[in-house]
Amino acid sequence: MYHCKTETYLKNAFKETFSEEINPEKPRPEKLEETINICKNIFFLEKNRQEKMEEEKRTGFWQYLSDVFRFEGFLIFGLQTAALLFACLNISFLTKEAAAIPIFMPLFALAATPPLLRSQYHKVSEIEAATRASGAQIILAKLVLAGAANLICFTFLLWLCLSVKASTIQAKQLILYVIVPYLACMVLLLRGIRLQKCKNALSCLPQIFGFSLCYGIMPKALPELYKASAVGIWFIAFIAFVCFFIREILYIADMRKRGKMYGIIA
Amino acid sequence: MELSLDRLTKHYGSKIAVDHVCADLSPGVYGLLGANGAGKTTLMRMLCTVLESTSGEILLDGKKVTAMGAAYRDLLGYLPQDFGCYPNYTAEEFLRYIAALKGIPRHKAGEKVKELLEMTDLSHAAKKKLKTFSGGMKQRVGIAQALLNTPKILILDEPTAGLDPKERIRFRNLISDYAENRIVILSTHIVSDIEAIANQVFLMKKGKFILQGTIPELTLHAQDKVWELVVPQSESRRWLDTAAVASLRHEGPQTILRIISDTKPSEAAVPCYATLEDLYLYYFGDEERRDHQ
Repeated sequence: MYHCKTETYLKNAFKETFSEEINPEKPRPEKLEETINICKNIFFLEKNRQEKMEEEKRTGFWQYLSDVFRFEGFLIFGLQTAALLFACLNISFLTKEAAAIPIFMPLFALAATPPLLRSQYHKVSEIEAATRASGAQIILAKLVLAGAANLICFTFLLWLCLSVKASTIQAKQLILYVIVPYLACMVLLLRGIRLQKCKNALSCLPQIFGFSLCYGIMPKALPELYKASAVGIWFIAFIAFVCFFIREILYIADMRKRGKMYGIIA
Repeated sequence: MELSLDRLTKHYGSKIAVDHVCADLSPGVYGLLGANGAGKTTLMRMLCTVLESTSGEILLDGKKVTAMGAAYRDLLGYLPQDFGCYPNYTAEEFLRYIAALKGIPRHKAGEKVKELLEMTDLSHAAKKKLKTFSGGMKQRVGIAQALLNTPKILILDEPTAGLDPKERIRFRNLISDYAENRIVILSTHIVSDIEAIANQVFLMKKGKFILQGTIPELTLHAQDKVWELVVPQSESRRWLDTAAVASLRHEGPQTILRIISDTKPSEAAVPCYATLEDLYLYYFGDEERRDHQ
């Protein structure tokens, strides 16, 4: 289209300018400026045309996120739902105790692992890191999606726990029981991915489970401490792990900004 | 468009993988030739911003590529040496997924994927899962994904590994066609591939470019070092053990040896024209022999 426009413009402009008889022996200074302007216009039209031809449209972040959801969403939400089902069934039928929630929280962090480590495991991470998105942006997008899935799952879990008759715990405490161990596990997992290669990244799993088990058995093993710390320790832990988590996320965001990989490549 | 490497260096602890490499690359096909561990893959990873350099810069038209970020990677197509793919994706799904990561709008991605599947002769397998693909087919998917965003800078690490001769020729033609107004950098051990398509060749050893130039320019360096020698078959073993033999051909009771040597290996030896393979053996023959031993 631009090419046609340039050609038409060129024809018309020259027709108008040089329609009178031209004597090659005699330069016409009065036409000089006009000719320069025509040439300038031709140059800019052509440049514009080339730029338009070369410029390929790229999608923005939201479209990108929707694309990642299209490809990874099923896996992310599916695994989180499976973790939720497992936790709900156990809380409803076996433990019937909301204080046991922390025991099940690593499952949600664990369910986020396959999508996060998938590219490293299948050796696609280098290809992904060299795309427009960069490795860190892909991790960030997957974390956003996992976070959305978690939000739904945790809301449902909290509702379930609050509706369990045996529970005497207040909602705000319950939120802390859900969030603190989850954040702790995610911090361990993200650090594992950042500092280790794919196979070694999973070495943080025993820590995750150990961490969670401590929280889980505390109500039974040290009921007094548990009661005393019902809000205090959990709240401090919440603040600490939120800080750690935000630090990890900011690191990923920074890597994304610089277009870097998140995790070890070589 | 000019891609410049300015004293690019990469250390892994005390090991220097790439050592103050300098080069200016304008559109054309560049071949990277070197033995295993010469630093080719590390250099390519740095060019793709997958790996950070210890020091030095990569500049595109004078701008640091690290500062350009996504704008640089928009221009980039990369095929890693050792890559995989998601086994449960079909070829088409995988290419669409990479297209999404490359920020190509969905409607355009569909056309592009179809075009590339045809170009790499994979249209018939577009709906098949990647886990059913042979090594050569996966390699072609890798080549297709690198070309998805019509990159202006194409970096291919061992692109012809696993391809059969027919596919290799097809690939060479594809790259030759593609290279017009683009920078294509490829590394391979298959010297004939580089001979066929590269305009410029970089010979890399211990993290440094030891030679660079066009193939005729480079082969000049090995011009007086290639000899042909006819010996009885019984003597061929001795020559194989003591000299750098580029090739060996039995003709009746005699053996014709192609020997790389600074000096005339025998009175009966006659000089021959050097090829890129001879040059490679001249510089890396010792390392290759050491590896075999």
